[in-house]
Amino acid sequence: MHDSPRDRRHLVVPLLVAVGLLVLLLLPLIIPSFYLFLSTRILVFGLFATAFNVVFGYAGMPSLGHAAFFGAGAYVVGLASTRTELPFPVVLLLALLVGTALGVVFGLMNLRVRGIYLLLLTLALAQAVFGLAFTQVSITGGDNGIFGIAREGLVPVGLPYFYWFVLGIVGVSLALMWQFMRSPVGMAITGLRESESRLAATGYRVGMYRVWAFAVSGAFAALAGMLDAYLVGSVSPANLAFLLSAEVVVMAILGGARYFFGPFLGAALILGLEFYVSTFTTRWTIVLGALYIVTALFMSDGVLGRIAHWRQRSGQRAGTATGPGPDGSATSSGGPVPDGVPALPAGAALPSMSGSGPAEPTPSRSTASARTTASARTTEPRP
Amino acid sequence: MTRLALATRGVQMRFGSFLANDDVTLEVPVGERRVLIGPNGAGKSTLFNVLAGQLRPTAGSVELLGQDVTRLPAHRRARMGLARTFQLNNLFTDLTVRQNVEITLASQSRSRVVFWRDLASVPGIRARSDALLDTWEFTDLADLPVSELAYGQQRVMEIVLAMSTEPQVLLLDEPTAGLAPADAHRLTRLVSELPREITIIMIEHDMDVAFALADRVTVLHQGSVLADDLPERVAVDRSVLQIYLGDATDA
Repeated sequence: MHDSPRDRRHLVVPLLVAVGLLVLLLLPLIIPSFYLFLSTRILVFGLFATAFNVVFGYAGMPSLGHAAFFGAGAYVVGLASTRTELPFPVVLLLALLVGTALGVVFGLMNLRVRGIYLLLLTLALAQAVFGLAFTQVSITGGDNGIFGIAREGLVPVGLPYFYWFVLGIVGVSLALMWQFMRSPVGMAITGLRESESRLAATGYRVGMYRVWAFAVSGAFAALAGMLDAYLVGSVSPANLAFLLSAEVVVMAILGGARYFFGPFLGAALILGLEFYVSTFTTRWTIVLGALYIVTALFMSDGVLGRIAHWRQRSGQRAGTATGPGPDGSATSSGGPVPDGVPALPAGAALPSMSGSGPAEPTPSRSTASARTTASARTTEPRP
Repeated sequence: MTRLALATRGVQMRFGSFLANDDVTLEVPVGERRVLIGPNGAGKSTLFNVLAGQLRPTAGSVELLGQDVTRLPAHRRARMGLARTFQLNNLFTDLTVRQNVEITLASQSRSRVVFWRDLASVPGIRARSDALLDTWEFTDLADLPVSELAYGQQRVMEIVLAMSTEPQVLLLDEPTAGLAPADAHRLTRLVSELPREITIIMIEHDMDVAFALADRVTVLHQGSVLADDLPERVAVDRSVLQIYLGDATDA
């Protein structure tokens, strides 16, 4: 018995994930500490971009205000660690709570707007949060922000320990979001992007799922902001600024907003490039702007989208049918079926209908006609 | 008195100065197959949106299964047993056939608020989607994105999704729109084979199809009901012939 490509995939994917995780775990022992700082930042912004993508790529709502959540999480740490003695678990809970609450507010305020208007309203809301942090000098330190956020008591001193700490939180967060997006609520959120009218006609209360998306996105974005504050050791209005909101949009698009790990990849690419470019020039934002334009013009489906596109094309050239989904969740039908051959004998399919609910059409079609429709369907040319 | 599946009383739908529907009163008893016909712009789709809850009428009321639903939004009516298809394919095109079905199945119970486990692992969902895909002969296409289905298959998917909620009232908005005659014929047969206990209200442009399927035909013209009668009577109604064929004196 030979392995089909699908069987091999089942082995290869977990193996790659395991190797990847091992490399990430051992990273502090391999690379110098400066690169470790960059790696930690990539993890933090990867989490931020992934959280952002729940609203952007999955729910299809172009938010330009996500810095508000990130910054709120950062300010929670700033205030809690300089003014209180709250233990870390409480700070973590507070950050999640503030992010969720802010997400609910954003979701509710944006219930009636779509597209460009949603973009403008989220931007306005984020600017309001920014303004609040900027003007309430006695609490937030205004323009100067809050300095001297210590990691003491969090993890043993030393960047490697903090890196592992961040890796753990980011890993758990990504796993939770991954699971969430596959749940009925997550799938309904994906349905928002595809068709709100279909979703409503199906029986979903569309507004509730829009708020859900913002709440989950806000919670994890705030978590990323919290980690950033611990990493950098300070908070300032820059954590709430428009530039950050725009940057996370580029991250998501560049990596591929239709893919769960696309935004993470985008974050890694942009932060890596920023690090590389800033050894030559201080004008990083010009490069970022150029990158934005190039992405918009040539890669609106992102790096992962391009890769999928190329793989599909080379697959077609090789004359084989492309596999169904990226997650390979095929279980019942076992993937694409050769054209013209129904997966099941149509006659055998018909008796199994009885007893599975009143939704069935009456099984009065003859076996012969069922077979012709089935084969006619499978022989129809696919785009 | 027969129980009404769906009824409207004096429904008016106004968009600014444009009156899309005016004084539409319909009574569709349970189990009836009603076909709505009328020339382009007669207000058929607008009326459908009023019936399904996408639009709230500017006057009049809508009753679903004996309950006033005029102010109920679409998702609440869907949970009461109303399902609809759309004139233009309106599916979750980037998701697979199976995901489309399973999202629809989950909407019908508390499963729709489950956020901690896979949609496919929610008890009962996988078995029911398997059965539905089997019934409708989509099993071998289950893992393809809907966008890769042929247009005609997407038209059938509209009906599959509507039927997967086990509706009592089914609104079909031009199910054969855009189909080649052979496919249209096949789809019409699918519709005619739906269980009789489901009340069906259908917009149809093809007169042969309309008269073959209908228990009763309602003709809309310029937003209002022009005729509401048995198919064979509507077919010979002078005023109906006039709007479809033009005034005889014009010729």
